[in-house]
Amino acid sequence: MRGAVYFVVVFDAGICYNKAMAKKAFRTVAALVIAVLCAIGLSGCKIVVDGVDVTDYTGVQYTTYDYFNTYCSVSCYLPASETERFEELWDNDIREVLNAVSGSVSVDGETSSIAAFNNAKAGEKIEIDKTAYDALTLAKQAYETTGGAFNPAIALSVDLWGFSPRFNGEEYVASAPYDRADYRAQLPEEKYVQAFKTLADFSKTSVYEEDGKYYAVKADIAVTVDGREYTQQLNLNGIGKGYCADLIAGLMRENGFEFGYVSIGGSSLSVLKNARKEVGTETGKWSVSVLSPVDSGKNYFKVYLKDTSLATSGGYQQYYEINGKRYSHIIDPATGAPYNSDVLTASVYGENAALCDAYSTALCVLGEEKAAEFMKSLDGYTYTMAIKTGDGFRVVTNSEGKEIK
Amino acid sequence: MKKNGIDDVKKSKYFTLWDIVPYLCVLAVAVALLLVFLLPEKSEMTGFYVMHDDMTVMDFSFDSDSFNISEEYKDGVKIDEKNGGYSVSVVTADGYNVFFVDKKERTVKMVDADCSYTQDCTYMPEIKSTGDSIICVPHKLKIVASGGIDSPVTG
Repeated sequence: MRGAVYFVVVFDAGICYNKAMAKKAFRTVAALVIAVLCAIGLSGCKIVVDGVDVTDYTGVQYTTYDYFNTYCSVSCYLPASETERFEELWDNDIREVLNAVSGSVSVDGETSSIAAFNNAKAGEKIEIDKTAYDALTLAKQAYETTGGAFNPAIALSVDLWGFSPRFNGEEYVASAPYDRADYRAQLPEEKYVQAFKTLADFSKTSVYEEDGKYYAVKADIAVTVDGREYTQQLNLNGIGKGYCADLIAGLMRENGFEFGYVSIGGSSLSVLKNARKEVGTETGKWSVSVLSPVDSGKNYFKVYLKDTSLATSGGYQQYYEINGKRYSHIIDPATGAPYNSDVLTASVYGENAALCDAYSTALCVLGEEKAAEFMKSLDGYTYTMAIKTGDGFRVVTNSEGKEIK
Repeated sequence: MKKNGIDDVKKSKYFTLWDIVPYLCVLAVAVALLLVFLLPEKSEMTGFYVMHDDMTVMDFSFDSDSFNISEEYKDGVKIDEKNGGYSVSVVTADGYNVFFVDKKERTVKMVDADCSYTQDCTYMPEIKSTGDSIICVPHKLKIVASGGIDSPVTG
């Protein structure tokens, strides 16, 4: 009997003890959970990117339309106290870079090294400036890497088909011997297509440095059509934009501006870090939208990037149609005519915007199969391509991003 | 412990409502903090502004449904109300652009310009989120959704 009483007392005490412990445990756990949530919530007041507190950063953006026949937009997130210093950077150093690169690689600038190259005789050696040397060296690298699919020596073909800057004006006036009355309604003569194609052998042009000076030796090729001689012409506008975007991004970093991006014409971008929180992206990354090649006014892909470069090429913006066939501004060096592959548009992401630009053009020219094979051979570069399928397209990519349906 | 006391404890629930309510209140505040500070910023645009080169042409607020036009551009801006929005024509020294402001959808789309043969700006996506922009390069004209700098677009 005494044993039974003892058991009941111990049992009852156990229940009481358990209930008291449960309450205590609940209070402890609840307090801990709340403390953790509050800590996270309060720390969420701050936006920290790569160790930098950017909570109070504000955005500024400068745009100019004076270079590369397009816009150059530089966006920067910075503390309010740094706004004036960034404005000075824009007014001085950044504009200086734009002037230097655009002036050096433009095809019509008075002091342009590329204009001087284009005016030189076949086989002539000319002195060029450092910027042109760097851009030409990158162009040579891209030409060789892509097996000639990217080729800056097709400038005459680009002009023949009506896509050089002189066709961008409100009015078109036929001025070259090969110009048509209406270049958007008539195809160029085949003899010009073939002649200009033979001039585009970029392997025969060389660049080198000697005693601190820079030189280019023009390909020793010339063709004569209808009594007029033509020599190789270069157009480095595309690669020049990427080269320039990277230089500007580098300037921003050197000066402590780590947040923002540089866009030249939308086709060449150099992105730094993002100081905003964006839907679907991890902190610090930009969500970059890629325009649809078939659905005007829509984006088809989003890619998430920081501290990298990208470029996009495609035949869906600059083109005309004759008898239902599309002729775009991207010239296939192998045919001397607008490219005709299944790649509607290609974007390439990697550390060098100039090379991204060259590679994205090459992907369009190569077509899906060869393009994917080529990209496999590159380290540090990823891509997205829209491949033509009937009236639409499908997306091929190895990048971190998502298709927008 | 007395037997009655033990019985009371045995009959009682593990937790009463008032054991939990204070914690629920604090928890709700903590979750609210999380939602406010950790979720991405709302991106619907509240208005837009138009720049010509470095000059502000005008701005517009969807909430107040009002335009604010700079003195320098007053003669070059024409606004017509139609189709549930505004058709806005901007004439500058570089040429004219026409864009449509859809009040219901809160979007802006370039619809016409005499900028070039190809009129690239009229093919740019409508702007609808904070920081989106439409740029007409030949006319040095830019329409930017208010609220921040634009996210990059490539194409």
